[in-house]
Amino acid sequence: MKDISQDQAEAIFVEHSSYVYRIALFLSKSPTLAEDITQDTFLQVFRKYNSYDPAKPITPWIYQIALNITRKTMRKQKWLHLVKEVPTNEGLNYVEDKILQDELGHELWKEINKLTLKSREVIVLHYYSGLKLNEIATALDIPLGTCKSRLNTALNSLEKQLQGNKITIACKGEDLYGTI
Amino acid sequence: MEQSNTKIGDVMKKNLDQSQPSIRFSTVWDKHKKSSRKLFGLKKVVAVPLTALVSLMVLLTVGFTFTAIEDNTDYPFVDDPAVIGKWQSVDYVAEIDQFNPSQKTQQGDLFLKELAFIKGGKMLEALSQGNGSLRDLNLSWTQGIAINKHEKTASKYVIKEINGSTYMFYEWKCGDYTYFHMTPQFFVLNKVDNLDYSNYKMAAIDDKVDYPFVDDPQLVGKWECVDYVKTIDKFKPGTSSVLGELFLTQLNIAENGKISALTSESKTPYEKLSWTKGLILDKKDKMASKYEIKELKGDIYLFYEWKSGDYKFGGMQPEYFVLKKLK
Repeated sequence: MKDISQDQAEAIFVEHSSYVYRIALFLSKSPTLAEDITQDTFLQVFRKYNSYDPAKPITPWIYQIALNITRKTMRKQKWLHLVKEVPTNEGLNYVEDKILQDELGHELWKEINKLTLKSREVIVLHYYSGLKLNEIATALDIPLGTCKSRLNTALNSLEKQLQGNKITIACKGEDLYGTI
Repeated sequence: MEQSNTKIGDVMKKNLDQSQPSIRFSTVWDKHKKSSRKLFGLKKVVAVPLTALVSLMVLLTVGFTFTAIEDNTDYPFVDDPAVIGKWQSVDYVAEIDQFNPSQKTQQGDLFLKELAFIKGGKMLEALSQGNGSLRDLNLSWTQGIAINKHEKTASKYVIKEINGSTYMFYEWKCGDYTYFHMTPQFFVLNKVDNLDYSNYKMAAIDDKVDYPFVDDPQLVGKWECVDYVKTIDKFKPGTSSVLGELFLTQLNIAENGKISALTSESKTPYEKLSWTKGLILDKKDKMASKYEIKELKGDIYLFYEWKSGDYKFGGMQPEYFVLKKLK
């Protein structure tokens, strides 16, 4: 495949940059990092475009790149934190600080944000980006079975965290696998 | 009660949809153009020879110094009543003194989930992978030391009372220690109970193994193990993704449905396996493993789905031994 043209690049950027940014924001909880992740993601998308297989959907491929960059960035942040060179993270609570309209939604959002990174990855790809489980498996480079179990684990943790609230998780296990 | 699955999507939309990146396409595109020009120049003039030189030096260094650490695992049993019971991981720290119960260094699931120390020196371990339940991984203990004879590691453990709770600092000796000689870090575990787990029953998966024999002449022959991979597509002929020796070394597959397997741990062949087209069966342990035969770069390879205790008791996804057909 030939290198990406400016028109192709712009079309891809326009269609996917907001979603990539929001996923990065949700996972990193920092608008600054999310901006960096978005930029690095598209730099890599443009650079690697000649290795992309056009027979396959492009969204999981872009998300795969975005997630790898997010993880790398967050590992680097952890390291910087250890050596005390972490930049001021003005947006750490950015997402949580948003004004929320209803109490249950607020509670749910708070608990979703407490999930582990792995759990948040599957949750954001499935419930926000609307990816099917096999597409999430591609984006995360994991087998479908692992993907199902991660989503199930995420929902179980969420349910456990939400005990005592008036919210239950409706579909888990086999019901959930029907979403492929 | 409110059903939250649709709500999860709604809540995420509500909180994320308003966020927009400030970065513009033109900025990213300019950077891309500049970096691709730079890369091209670098690659041609410096990067390729430099990378080759560095790789060669690393290979030579590793080749000369690579030795796997093998701890002494031969210790007599000394009792330690304080250790008996179940322990749950709460943190993972570089040094014991680094642990602060009110300020954990790790967020989310820890790789090691639980340990259960049993009277007389046996141990059970639960990892956060698979079903996360306690399993017998042939670990043992004596006072102050947890022993893994298979991995040849002896990990020290230290029990401390902190703010009225009992914690264990468990030295974690993984591949970083064994192969890369890195200083082990510590899992911090909180004591959950003092129960005796001697009669703990592990939940096991039993596969259907009652299949009629269907011939597969392609499978018959001698196969030598060359790799162990997560998924079939990860295998690259001529390369090995495993550090150290492989557990399964050879399979001798006879026409009558019988198999003789050799492992690195025993000189006596394991004769309990059998086969029928598409499956290798372990009727004793009730496991049916799929196999695939592929021709890659002129050689014939067998991909054998490996259903170990990780699958049977841990519910984990099986991985694959790759075996090359001997001519």
